[in-house]
Amino acid sequence: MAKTVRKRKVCPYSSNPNLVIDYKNPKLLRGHLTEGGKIVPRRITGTSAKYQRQIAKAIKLARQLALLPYSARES
Amino acid sequence: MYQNEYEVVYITSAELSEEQQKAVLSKVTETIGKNKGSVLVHESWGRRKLAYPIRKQNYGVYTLVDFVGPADLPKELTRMSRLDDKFMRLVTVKIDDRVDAEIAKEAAEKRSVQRLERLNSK
Repeated sequence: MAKTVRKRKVCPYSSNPNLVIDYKNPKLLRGHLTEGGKIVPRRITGTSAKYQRQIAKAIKLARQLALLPYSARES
Repeated sequence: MYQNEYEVVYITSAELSEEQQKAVLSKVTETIGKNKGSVLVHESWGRRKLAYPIRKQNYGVYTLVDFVGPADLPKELTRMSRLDDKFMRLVTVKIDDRVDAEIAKEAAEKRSVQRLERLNSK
């Protein structure tokens, strides 16, 4: 029986202090949205709980300012 | 009375003329001044595509103003923006508590320079 070997995900923010989570940086936050515009859960991205909270806040602020979509319909 | 540091980002219609944009900025500055606050830096991000249309418009002009002021100032800004239909959106975010205006100004200027560099490198 083949055993699935999964690589452990590492939080990109804990290991890199230069990555600052900011609602004014939609380019960075885009990576945490699905194509439909939903926030990607940390079980997928590997982000630690601490930074996931910051990301969620930042995304919600960026949405208010139309820097990120609330929902994106695929056309 | 202590002061906090805030930053406000607002979107105006891309259809406004340059003079009108300036008038909007001075209105924001005035509101801050009237309420015992002072502006540290302001920067324009220019015309950007909106992630979703606002008032049936696909583009907006973004401006950021960093300022110090008493705690009731953000509320006053929001109120002012709701009464003036030149504002499509206005969001105020607290940066720091109980700051000294001069120290904050230096830090704000540094941040602004970095931000604009990033913006222009896109």
